[in-house]
Amino acid sequence: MRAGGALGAIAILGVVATACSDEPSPVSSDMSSRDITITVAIDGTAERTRVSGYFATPSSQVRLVGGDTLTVVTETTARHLALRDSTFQIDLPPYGGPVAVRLTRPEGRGGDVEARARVAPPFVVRPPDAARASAPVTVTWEGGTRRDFATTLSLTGPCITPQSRPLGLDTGSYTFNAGELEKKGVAARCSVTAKVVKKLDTAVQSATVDFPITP
Amino acid sequence: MRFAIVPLLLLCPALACALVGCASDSEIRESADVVAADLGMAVTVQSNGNTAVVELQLSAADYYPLQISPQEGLVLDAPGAPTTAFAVLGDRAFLTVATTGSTFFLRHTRPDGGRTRTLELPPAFVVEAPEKASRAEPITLRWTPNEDEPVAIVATSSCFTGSVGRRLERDRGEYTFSVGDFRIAGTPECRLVFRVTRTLATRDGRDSVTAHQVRTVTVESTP
Repeated sequence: MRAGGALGAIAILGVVATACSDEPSPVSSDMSSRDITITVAIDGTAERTRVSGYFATPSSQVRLVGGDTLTVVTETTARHLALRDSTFQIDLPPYGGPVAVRLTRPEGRGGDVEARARVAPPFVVRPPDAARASAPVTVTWEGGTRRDFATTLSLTGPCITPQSRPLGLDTGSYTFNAGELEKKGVAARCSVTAKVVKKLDTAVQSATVDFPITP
Repeated sequence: MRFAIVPLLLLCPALACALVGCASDSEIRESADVVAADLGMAVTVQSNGNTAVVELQLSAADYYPLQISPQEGLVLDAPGAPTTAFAVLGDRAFLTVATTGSTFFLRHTRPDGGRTRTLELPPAFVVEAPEKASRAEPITLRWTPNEDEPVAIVATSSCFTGSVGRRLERDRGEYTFSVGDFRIAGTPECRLVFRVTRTLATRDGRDSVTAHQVRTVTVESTP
């Protein structure tokens, strides 16, 4: 019985050791450009622009070697990126405009690979003055962005009925009707978060503001 | 060994059914097979102020709809309209009646008894809206409020895809759509259709009535 338990433990350890082996991940120099796609996502706020993404390759992990370099390029900066387990992430200053993540390759590997995105300009949301749930509540922000950005405004808080407005037209302000935020059976003061998101494909620019609301 | 077959049957309903027999999903049950005391009725009534559309289903204790048997007598009495019989189609019965009333009487007769159910609509109302509205201005709809029932508003148009919906838990008798609510691009003029629905839902034992007052207004949206 004791011998059987020992054998089981050895078998489990073997499986764990195999899963955690230090076998080196494939290197980018072995891959043709046509086997590599880059997916990029942008999460922008008034504080920073986070560019992240991953490499889709025949292997789940890849290391950049032998002259392959990864760069994030905007209208204002170009920064080298490090690849970690096929993923990358870098924080840039607040930014709006085109973004390219480019894998520059030496000759003979099938040419450069690039992923592009466009992020809306950073903006701030302004809270209403002395908001009351029983009265119209107006939230404002820098609007008027291109029509291809999908803008959504949301309001959440423990004492209001949560609201989400996918806006057909981003005018930079939105007024919730009197009573629209009221929550049945709740007549308390609380903090409400207004969040505006401007999205184009995988690029998001968002801003939030907290403000008090009374019944 | 005898007990080993039990989990096997639990895992394989088809085998279990083959051995012990199961009711088929396609088995049709008729309302005539259910005694009046066990019969439930689900009614939906919708009025636009001039015409009411009523639809009903009969169900047994398990709430599954029954095929409505020819023995069921189903008629409606509505103000200003002659007594009208329901048309039966499978497990549903329908009728449309021209009436401005808000209270109807649904009479159900069958060989083992009968009953009359009152169908109460929410209060009638009229929606006021501008005939034309600039796309640069908000659009306000107004009606007589009734705080007892929630109000739903749905805006549709051939000028944008999908719909814009609002549900007002508290009826204040007006709602203003913001300029940003609609995505109308590159169209000189277009019609926005607003459908305002006031709903009253009641339940009495196995019977339920969902009554809607619906009003529709159209606004010409100009650039």
